[in-house]
Amino acid sequence: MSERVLDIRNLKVVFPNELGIIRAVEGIDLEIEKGKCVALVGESGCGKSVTSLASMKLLGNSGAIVRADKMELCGTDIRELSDKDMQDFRGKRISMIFQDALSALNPVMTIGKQLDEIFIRHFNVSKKEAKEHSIEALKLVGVPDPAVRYKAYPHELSGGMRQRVLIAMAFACNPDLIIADEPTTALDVTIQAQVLDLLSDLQKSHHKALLLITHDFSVVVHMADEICVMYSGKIVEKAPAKELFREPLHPYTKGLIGSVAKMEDKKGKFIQIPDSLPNPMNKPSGCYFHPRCACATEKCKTYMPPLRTLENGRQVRCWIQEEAHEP
Amino acid sequence: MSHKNKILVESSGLCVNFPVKKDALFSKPKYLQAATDVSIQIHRGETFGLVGESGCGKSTFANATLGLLKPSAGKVLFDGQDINELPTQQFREMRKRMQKIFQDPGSSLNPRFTVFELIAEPLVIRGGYTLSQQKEMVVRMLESVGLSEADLYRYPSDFSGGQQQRIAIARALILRPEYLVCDEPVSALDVSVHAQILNLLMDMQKKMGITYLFISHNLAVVKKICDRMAIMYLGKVVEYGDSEKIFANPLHPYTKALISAVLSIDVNSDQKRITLKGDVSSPINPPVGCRFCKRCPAARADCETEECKLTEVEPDHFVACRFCC
Repeated sequence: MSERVLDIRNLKVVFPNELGIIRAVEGIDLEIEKGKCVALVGESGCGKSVTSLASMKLLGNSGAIVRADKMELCGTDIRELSDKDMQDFRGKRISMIFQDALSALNPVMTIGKQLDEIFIRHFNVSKKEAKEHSIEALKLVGVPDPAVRYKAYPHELSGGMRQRVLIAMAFACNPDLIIADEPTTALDVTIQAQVLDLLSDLQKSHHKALLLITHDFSVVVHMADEICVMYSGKIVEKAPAKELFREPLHPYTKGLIGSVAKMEDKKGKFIQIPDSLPNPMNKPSGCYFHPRCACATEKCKTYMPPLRTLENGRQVRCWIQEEAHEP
Repeated sequence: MSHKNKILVESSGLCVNFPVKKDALFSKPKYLQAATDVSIQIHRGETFGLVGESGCGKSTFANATLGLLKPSAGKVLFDGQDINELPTQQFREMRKRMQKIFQDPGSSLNPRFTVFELIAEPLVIRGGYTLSQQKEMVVRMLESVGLSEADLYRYPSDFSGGQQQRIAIARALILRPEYLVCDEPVSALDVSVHAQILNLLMDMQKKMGITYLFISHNLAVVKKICDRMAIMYLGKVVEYGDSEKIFANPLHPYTKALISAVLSIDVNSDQKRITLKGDVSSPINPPVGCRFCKRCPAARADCETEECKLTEVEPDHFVACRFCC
């Protein structure tokens, strides 16, 4: 039987401020099984990072109001956990890889010391043992000369190496769930390929659950088992990765996939989605995507479509699909 | 069009070195060789792609063609004239024919200027326009990049990344330049916005007949929009010529690796990626022979000692590798 690592039902996150309420996440269901990789894809500002922070309970000081019907991590309800218990959870059961390695690492500490901290905090080991673990962890992610690099400061390493160190930190305590928030956006193409291969290999060999957050479809296609496309705080389409690329159903997904430059393409213009995301304080009526949608109807302008599960198990939030599948 | 007239920007044997801090007071001065022996011709009206990893000298080369950096050796010709030999006054005149847009519009636009001030600034510096003329030109330019007159007195922070890049494009094009350097214009933006900005750049090129030097590390984008291209590695050009020919028949091992590193979104393709080992070597003491020899999957013993020259393998397709031509 498959084990469910993360199970979130109807997650809502709002940020109240002087001018109004920003509804960042509006009712999201997310579940990840052991050994699976789920990708959350969408433009900046669609709420994907807020979702990941909320599932690590890292929104405490931001003034956000987080509500969910269910938030379970390996069977533990994390809504009830105290801050102290949550600290034990983070790192050990759930960990995160951030986008910009240079700002995620402490610039005045050697990477070795930063890795040691994790082992000392979670396993109560001596400094000497921690060092052994750290060098082992660096070796695992393919850092050359781990014993030498152990003493290096973050600025002495290249971008790809720093990202490897972050991955080493995330895998250090053998957590059940790893959240990677745009792990390769700041990297060059050749290094991006290296880091993605590494992440994918580690996830598969350690049989971990991975939540991958990105705006770039080309990153997820070969890694993810399931893809959730987010738009303006709601999931608009959810499908197994291969099927999503073979036949995208939501017009937004079609536009996103079309706008990625492909090697097979002929010279010429790109397919584009016009305009940009709606203002989160002032979202349009009806389907949030209708002002940018080429096939929007009157119904789309007034009513928000539900996230409907089709016969083949795929989920899509669109009136056009709704009508096409009506009996 | 005569041959001479066809070429807008030409560099021959261009080298740019930066001095680095010495180890000791009397030790030999060391140089970081950002660009070495770069000879490239950019034709009028084309989009020229310049590809490579960070630190390979793409931006250094582009800045040298704009006269922002003085070359240590070699020449840069713009429309047949050596830009480093020109008297200051004449060079200032030439400058208005070249412009640049940067990678991150958030930091290249002054946050305390309104959109009008930002876009009109080149007109003010150039002089000779009344305020009403400036306003008319700015509004017309704003409309052609997809913004409106209502945005005239807003600040850059009011706009999204894609809109900020549109403002940067409007500012670069207001003096109607002939040559525009686009230094990774979309890499700081969302993938969905890439298409919008690249389509806009192509539209503007068609409308105004501008020559682009397009710097990027995404080969899929370069393939789609560039007519000719050069691939750089550690300050040197490794492959150069007509982009269709290069993509149809990539010869240099580095080009092959770059092309295979482009992530495909075709689920049926089971392409094998050539993952390069290691990182780019330091440009302070680059390898004597082929600069790619340390990471090259096909390197042989003599690659480390003997330099490779760019050789023409077919018309308008040059490669710097001794084993593939």
